[in-house]
Amino acid sequence: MHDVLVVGGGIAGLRAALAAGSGGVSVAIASRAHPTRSYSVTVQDGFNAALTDGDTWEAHAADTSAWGEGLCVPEVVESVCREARGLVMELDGLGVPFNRNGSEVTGLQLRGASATRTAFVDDMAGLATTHTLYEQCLRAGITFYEEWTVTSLVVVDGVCTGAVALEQATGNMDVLQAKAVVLATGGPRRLYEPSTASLHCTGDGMALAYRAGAPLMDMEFIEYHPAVLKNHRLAMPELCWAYGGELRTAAGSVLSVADGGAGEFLRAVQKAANEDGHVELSGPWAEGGTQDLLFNTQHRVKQLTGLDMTKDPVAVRPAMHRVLGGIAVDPSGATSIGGLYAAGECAGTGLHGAAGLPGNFLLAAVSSGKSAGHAAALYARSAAAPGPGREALDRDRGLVSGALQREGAKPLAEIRNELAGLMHHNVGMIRENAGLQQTARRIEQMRESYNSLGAGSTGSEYNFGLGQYLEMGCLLDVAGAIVASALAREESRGVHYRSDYPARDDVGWSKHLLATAGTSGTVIRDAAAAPSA
Amino acid sequence: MELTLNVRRRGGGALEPGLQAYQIEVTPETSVFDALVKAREEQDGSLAFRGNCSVGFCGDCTLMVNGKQVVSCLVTVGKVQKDNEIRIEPIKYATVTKDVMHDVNQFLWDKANSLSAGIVSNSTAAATEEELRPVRTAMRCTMCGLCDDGCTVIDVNTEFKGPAALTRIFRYVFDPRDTRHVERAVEVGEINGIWDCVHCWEASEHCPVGIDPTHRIMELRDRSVRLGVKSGRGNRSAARHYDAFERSVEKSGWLDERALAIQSSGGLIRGGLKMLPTGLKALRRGKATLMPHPKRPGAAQIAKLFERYRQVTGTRH
Amino acid sequence: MDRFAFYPGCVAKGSCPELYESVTLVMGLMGMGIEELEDVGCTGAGVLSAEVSDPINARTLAKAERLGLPVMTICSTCQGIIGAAALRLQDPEYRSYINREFLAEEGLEYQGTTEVKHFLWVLVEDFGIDQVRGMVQRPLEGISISPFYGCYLRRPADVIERPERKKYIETVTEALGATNVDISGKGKCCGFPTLMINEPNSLAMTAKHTGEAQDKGADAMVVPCPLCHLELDGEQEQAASAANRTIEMPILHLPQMVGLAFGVSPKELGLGRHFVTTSKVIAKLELAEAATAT
Repeated sequence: MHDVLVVGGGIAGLRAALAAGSGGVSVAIASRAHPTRSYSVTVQDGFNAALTDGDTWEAHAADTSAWGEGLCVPEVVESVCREARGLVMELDGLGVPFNRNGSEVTGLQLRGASATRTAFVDDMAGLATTHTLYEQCLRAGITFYEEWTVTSLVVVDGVCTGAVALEQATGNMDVLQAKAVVLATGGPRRLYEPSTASLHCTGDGMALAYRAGAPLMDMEFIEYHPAVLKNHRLAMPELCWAYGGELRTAAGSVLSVADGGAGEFLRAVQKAANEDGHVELSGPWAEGGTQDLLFNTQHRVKQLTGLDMTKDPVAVRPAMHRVLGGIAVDPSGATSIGGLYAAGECAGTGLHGAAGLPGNFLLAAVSSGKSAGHAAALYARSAAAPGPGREALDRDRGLVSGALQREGAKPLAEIRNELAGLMHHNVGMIRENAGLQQTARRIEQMRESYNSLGAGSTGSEYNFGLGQYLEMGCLLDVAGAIVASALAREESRGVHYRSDYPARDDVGWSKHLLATAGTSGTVIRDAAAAPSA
Repeated sequence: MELTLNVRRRGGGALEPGLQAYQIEVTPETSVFDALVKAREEQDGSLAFRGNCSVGFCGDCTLMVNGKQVVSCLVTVGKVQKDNEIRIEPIKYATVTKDVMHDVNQFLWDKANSLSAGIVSNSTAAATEEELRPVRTAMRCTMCGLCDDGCTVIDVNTEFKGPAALTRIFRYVFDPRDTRHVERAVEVGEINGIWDCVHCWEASEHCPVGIDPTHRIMELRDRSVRLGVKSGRGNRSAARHYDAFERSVEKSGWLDERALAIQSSGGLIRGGLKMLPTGLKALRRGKATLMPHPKRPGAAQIAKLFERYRQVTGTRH
Repeated sequence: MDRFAFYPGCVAKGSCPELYESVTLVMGLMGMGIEELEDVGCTGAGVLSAEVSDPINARTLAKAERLGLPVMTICSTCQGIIGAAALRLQDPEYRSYINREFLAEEGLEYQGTTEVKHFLWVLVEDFGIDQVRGMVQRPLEGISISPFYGCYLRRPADVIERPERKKYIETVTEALGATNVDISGKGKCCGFPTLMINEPNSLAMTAKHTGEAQDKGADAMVVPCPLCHLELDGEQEQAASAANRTIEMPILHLPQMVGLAFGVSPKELGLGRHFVTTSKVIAKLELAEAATAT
């Protein structure tokens, strides 16, 4: 039994665990893979913060809100931007070796920023931060349940008291009892193809919370990355642009973010990529000693394509990258379920609005992680001892043993591949009613098929077929929420574009949508109205 | 193109050890890791291997591909297939858990995490870009384990911490923000730590991201020496060895092998007794002498260099 | 080049005098000039901190530079350490720091121009492999030799400079008429650096490599480093005992092997000094020689 259980070992989860632990409570992290194997390590850009005298948190907040096209929650934006510098310095004190000018942490200017404010670590901020936080968690004596898959939350009388989890090494299932749970499970990138997905980006935490009755907010906002290496999942970091890089069509015209905003830019890139098969990223990176600064990108581009990106243009195309929304939380990270918190990509805090400012994502991870960790610890101090969660355990054991008997593999893979293609085509950059309706129906049919499928393999030790089956269930739930939200929002804003409702409608749509699990599908309702930015 | 993956399967059920072939449809750009994922997702959920990010940052997908240990998501099928076949096996020096999945705790995490992790910072300590540059470069490490694969000490003794674990400590000892340099030097100086490295340069040849771990270990040793630490508490022979070597070069300009052997082994009585059989054999064959060890010309100059080095670096003597 | 500043290192003048004797003999036969550097210090062998050995090695390089000669080493470890120092000293800032803080006091200044070559490389690159072939009086026909490079003649790549150097021992043994026996450990550590620190590791390495050569039927191993020799020859008995097996594998210094093929007597080459007897391989060679003579 622990006071706080964090589900997910990426940056948000590790930061939450550290914050909770500093509150003098016992903390454990349950993660599907070893923490430094999390998706977080692939994030390269950096952390926005007002680092210089010439910059202010207000300017950072203004840039965030402008980029978010009127849907950022103002109090969240203010809170995150105010504490950004402190969060960066805290990370530095924990050991992240931010790049400096002399002894001062220095920043780069990413797209959408009005100042040089993105603190960076060469081109490996995510890698460096994840390892640093993991090592600090070791030092803090945090308990790790590595290679455990959480299958459901234990919620009794509206209060979360832990999670049911499966130990992959043995197939054994148990309840990880806790007074408070923080979900930090990342985004559901495997829902889309092409995307920047790691294998485990399957939206488990979102699905678990959703099934337990917590609403998901802003799920219609799916942000693509404009420049992902063709045939691969490597996203070319924003740092490339900061160092003078340019994105061009095959014919040579420059593609850049103009007055139309992030969404319009992405659609223009997608159009060019559709016509020519790809677009090209190139830059003056051979000069001025960017060898170290872009080393990690150069190395991986070289390994995957044979190209030296400092000399040759790199063929890229857009791919799905982020869900800007997630489990609805208040500014402290609390969900609608008592004792349940969410942080990082799986949380919908309202920071990103309709388009996420480059450099705000890692910031969001540590900011929401720290808040949720503290809030969970505070709650845990006065919470009642959790029950054994017998009912949830028995239910999940039953589901798993059923799944173990049923066929999997090919038919399951077919569902996943079809779903990923459908989401990309119908719920990607450009949506319209018919496509969305068709997708929603198809998802329901897929769920029927899914229910008759299973793990496809019966072993108890490291049964990946079972893992794939459980993940597919999560993907279907999240997909349903996304499609329903996209259907409901009859306007275009930021990265959500409806070709049947192409205009932005502040009068009707300055609000957030909540997707909740209903008896016959997703129910959409309005959250509190968002004051126009 | 149709590809055959020949995967070494073992354990975890009724499967006999041996190669199992999976035929899958891929393109030449598909990574070996993605090909394996395809085989697992479309054909056989019992196939066990690790890996996550598919872009070479998580370090989890290290496998033996056609006899060579690689980060399998950064190797494309087109590059390594022979007659449309690729052989996948588990990595060396690790116990296999199932199929090509190894006991990664035994191979890597237990060893890395046995050395105190996480810097303990002095909030007033500043660090400059120049000071942090080498720390940052060492943080390119994804813990892929390729350096440990090449290690000639792990080859004979899997208890040796290995370059991956030791490079992590380099990051701390060379980080001016950390306040525990001496304690870490002692901890990493214990048996199976930095003094057990034979500086064969294999680690540096194997690291795919230019961290040059062999150099990092040597620098960690040199820094330890500066701090006055030449071994841990449990392996004083390493410190004796260093001191004896230094003493003889400083005094005479060159190595007094006889003194080195005796002093490293515990001094005149204990060391002398231990080295007696070898010593006698060497004497008989003209490989050793009882004559005093002569000073080289230039010895005085070399002694001056030692003094100067201590002045310049602040090394304790 | 046909003239070198000779850096014999410490062990060739200490416990491996047979190396010193055989290489000076062979260089003489080849007509290659060597001027021994006598007042220079030990390289540090990878034991001493680079913070003190870089100045000591810079001094050696500066003295050779004054003579206008490249340095020839006869020990892989010396080669590796001085070679690495020379590479670091290519950086003008670092070189200037070393000159200023350490060498200036003695009136020395290193300009960064000294080349450092191991005898093996000199043999192939300066003397020439055809010339080596031409000097063979007693071909090593029927003799199987297992080359053991150890570490410092194979890595790191920037100090080795030319990748073809990683095959030179085989090139030389073939030119001398011997058959190469490849062992998987030929580029691995012999164990010497850890002999006095972790003896079990050290002996395990020795048993592995000498054992493999024996199992593959080699008549002898050849090493370009006296430290490898001290280990593979000097510790062989202990290593075999620790590994619970018998090993009797003669270890030849590279110049001894060359000298034998050039017709020099085993005695002159110091082959009687080794801990592991070389009598079998010598007998095999003399038998072959007698057979050709008749």
